Amino acid sequence: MIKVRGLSKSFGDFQALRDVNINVPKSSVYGIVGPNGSGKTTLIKNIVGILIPDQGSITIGDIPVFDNPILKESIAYIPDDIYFFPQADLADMISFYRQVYPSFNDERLQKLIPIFPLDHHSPLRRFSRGMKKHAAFMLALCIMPRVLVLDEPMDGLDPVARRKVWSLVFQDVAERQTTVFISSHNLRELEDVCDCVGIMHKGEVVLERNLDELQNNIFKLQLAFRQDVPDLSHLTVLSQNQVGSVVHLVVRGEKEQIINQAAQLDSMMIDVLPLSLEEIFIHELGGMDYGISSTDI
Amino acid sequence: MASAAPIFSQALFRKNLQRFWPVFASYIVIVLLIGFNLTYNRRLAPEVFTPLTPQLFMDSVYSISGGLALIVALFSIVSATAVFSYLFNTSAAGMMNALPYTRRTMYFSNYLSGLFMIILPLLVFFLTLTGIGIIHNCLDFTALLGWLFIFASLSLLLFSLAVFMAMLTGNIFAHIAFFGIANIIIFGLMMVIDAFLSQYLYGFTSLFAHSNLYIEALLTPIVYTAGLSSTYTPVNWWVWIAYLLAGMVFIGAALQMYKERKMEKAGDIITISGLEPIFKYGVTICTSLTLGEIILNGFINPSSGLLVSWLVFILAGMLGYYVAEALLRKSFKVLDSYKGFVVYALIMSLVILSAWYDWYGYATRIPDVNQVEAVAFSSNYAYYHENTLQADRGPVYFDSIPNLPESLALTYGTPISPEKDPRSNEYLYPAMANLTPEETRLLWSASPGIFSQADSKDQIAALHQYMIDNIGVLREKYRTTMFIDDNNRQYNITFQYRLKNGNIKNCRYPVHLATNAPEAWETQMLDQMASIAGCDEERQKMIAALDMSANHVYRIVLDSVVSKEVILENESAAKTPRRYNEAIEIHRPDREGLLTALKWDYRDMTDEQILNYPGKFIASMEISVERPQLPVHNKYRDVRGYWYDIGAYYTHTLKFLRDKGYIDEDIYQYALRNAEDKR
Amino acid sequence: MIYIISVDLRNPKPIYEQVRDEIKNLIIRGVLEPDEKIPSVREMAQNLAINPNTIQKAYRDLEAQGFVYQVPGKGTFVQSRAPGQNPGKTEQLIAEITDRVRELIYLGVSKEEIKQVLEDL
Repeated sequence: MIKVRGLSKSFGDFQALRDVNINVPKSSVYGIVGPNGSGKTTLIKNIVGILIPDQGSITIGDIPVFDNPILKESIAYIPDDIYFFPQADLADMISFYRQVYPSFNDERLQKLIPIFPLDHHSPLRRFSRGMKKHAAFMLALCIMPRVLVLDEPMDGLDPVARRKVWSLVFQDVAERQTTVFISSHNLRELEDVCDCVGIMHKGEVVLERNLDELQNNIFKLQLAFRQDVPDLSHLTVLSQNQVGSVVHLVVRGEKEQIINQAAQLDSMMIDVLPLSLEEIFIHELGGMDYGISSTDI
Repeated sequence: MASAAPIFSQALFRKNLQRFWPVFASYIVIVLLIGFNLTYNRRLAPEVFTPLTPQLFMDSVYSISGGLALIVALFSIVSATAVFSYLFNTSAAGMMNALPYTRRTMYFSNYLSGLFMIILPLLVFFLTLTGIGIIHNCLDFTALLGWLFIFASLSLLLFSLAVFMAMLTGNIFAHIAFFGIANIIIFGLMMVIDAFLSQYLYGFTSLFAHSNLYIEALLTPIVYTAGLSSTYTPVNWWVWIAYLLAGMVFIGAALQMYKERKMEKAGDIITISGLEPIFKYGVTICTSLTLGEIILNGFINPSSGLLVSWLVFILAGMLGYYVAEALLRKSFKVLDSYKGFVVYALIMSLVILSAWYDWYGYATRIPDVNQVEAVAFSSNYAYYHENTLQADRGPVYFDSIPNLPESLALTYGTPISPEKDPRSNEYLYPAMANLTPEETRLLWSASPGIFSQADSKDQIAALHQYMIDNIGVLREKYRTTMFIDDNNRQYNITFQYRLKNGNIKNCRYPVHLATNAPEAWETQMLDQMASIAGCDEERQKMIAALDMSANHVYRIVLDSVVSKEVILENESAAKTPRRYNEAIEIHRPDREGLLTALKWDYRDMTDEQILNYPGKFIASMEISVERPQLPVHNKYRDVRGYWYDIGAYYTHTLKFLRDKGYIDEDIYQYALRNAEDKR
Repeated sequence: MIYIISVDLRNPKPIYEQVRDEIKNLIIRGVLEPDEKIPSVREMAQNLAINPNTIQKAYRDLEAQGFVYQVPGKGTFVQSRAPGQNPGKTEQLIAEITDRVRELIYLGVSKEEIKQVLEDL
């Protein structure tokens, strides 16, 4: 659905994005993750048509995004720094969006109002961060978007609010095949909701994969040997750690394959466990200075 | 809503009006107040002007053009800043640019809403004036429509300019500043360069002194519009059409810039990288010249010499350079950038040096004396006679010449028609401009300070040449004796040449000449200056001015005669004397004798005395004349007064006044004592 | 009914596996009866706040393993089974036995003794 090809963008001397390629399939939930300053927000601003790329192309449904109002009518964007017109209240913004977006749906608005209990006549600038996000989500969902772009969506929302919001978003994905693109610096969050992830580092996309592919390709393997640890070279071992007689390994391969390989060893116990996304990234990125603290495996 | 990209979005248009209503509301209030004031102030009150003609009403409306132009400018920038304010804030720019509109639609939605906010109040004003016109029965609807066209053009121009400026920057303060600068840049630059050249270039004549500043006013619409308050100049509609077209050009240019604008530059001073050097060096040069001037004139002895001045300009430039760099980079760590400054400093140094030592030969220009038709010369006062010298090519004003030649008075003083002009209720006279060559020469021969006879021109040319040959000495003496003290006197020697091809060449030299123990060249100069001052052509003019039969004199009044206290004061210490204000009218039988005495003085005063005219001040004299021989309604027929300063050198006049009892003996003796003194 | 399924986000086991296995369990234990309609992808996604693609994947797995069948336009239904066929149950029981056997080994019972138990059945 969203295709970014060869996108480069610099601000003066600083190269924010370097030859970025991204593929977001239709009705998927795609998460872009990276440390602060890796270029996520710049990428998003290019996708949504705010910034002009120096090089490269951005298409949604194979149609270029920039300066394309018809396309933008079906894109809802919620930035990290949400902006409403000063002095406006929620009723004003609803009225404005209704005029601007032809696909604004009043039925949906009525359904959402009870879900987001907000004062429609209080100035939005007085809202807390979380309440502003609520308002922004409400407006975004009312325009019945085909593409939803969210920059750090869960920042500022409590767990109850998060669940509420995701529930609504997933409903759209299921019912209307909405494509969702989110950015985050929090892997924990993405792990729960995304089906595709991309990792950004210093302006480049270093990895892009389906989540289950990632997860099905690497496992923790715990073995115990009465005597010395035998030769493990038939396994693709990414890391090895021994505590007492238990050997903790991180191994690449499919689960069945690993079980079979492990069964060839004379181990007192074989435990194959999945890794968290965070753990996976640490191993995938190997020596890259990604910046997450290593977790004890 | 149609998906084909509309030229503007109703939603955005309405939103802007909803958000920024205080802008046009306050403008409307101001406009209504002005309308109210116009109605009820004295200008329109029926008891002052009966009848209140449409012409008077329009004059009244145009009389506020200057103030209204400023209001238009103010609201133009306020409106433009408001509707494009989102460009200055990253979050706002993000939100607005994510909306489903092309950039063209965004631009026009904001542009049109901003323009609407400043045109609407203008229309309200127009309707108010129409209403006033109807009520007071002085409405000239066509003229009022013309007025509306003028101010609508101005509004479009200034608003489009303000929008254009918004495209150059991402910072709200810079936006306002750039707009302000754009409006005054012509005059501002002129002032700054003028001050600089006056400081460094010896012989520089001010840019302001002798040009009519028409082009400069054209390029400064606020100033040009203010000129409408004068009822003497008819409206040049082409200018307003040109302004309208210029406004359109700004609209198009700004649109193009908006389409390509880097939205990430919100908050930056300059949005277009290519313009950053212009900003940087512009700030550097302007700070250098402006701040440098202020420091030099305000805090430092102006005759401290080249080195000090140079240092001040360079340091002021350095300040400007680093401030601009800091603004561009949004950081204080700017000291690593210095190459640009070094280049600037080198160029500035070259400019200063070249001006100081006059590498251009600016001060040593002299036209070929054979090409000179006439020359205006003065040692003391910098009068500028350009208009008179070019009376055959443009407008001239000669009402203040005493004893205007009769043929000129007849030609230009007689009304065009015996009927008064119905609109202004006054007589219309021929325009004082583009005189015939004969009339021009006649005018010159009656104008003091303008020399057209061959010997005078030769003498003047000789003096000029002498000065050029000694320019180094003159310049050095002037610069090293900046403070006038008792040892030197300052003369401002001005040459204004009218050439055969009709052009004017100006040269002006401030000169210090020693009063005690002058050197040979100073004596030589003083002698030459004196002989020009006292040459026959000038003396004849002065005498001719008094040459009228007694019955043309309406009245002669002796005024401000110095008192005894003043004499004491003057002779004991050098202080500004207090005037003794009692006007004495000269009796009718004495008039002829007095005039004769005056003529003798002009005949007998030495050249040096005329050069240092009038000598120690003794009294003022006003001679009022009328010219009953001119036809009725001729504007020179009525009484006009001319003032003469009677100084210590007027020995004949003072003796006459003493003999007839108008002044005391003490005063006469005081004058005699001071007549010896050549100062 | 939907609330019988819960997903533990902190469990490192992938979500779709948890969903799949929980539904499988319900089917095996007979809580969900043959030809009964299980919630749509959309309903599950909405109520559990889980990515519908994840749910979709779980359903596809279940279908591949023969636990459910999908009727286009109607939804997903529990597969009816011939009496006696209960592969899921079998799997579960074998896993249980395996664990028990390991425990016995740990307690010191030899493999021969355990084999003896089987033979005696």
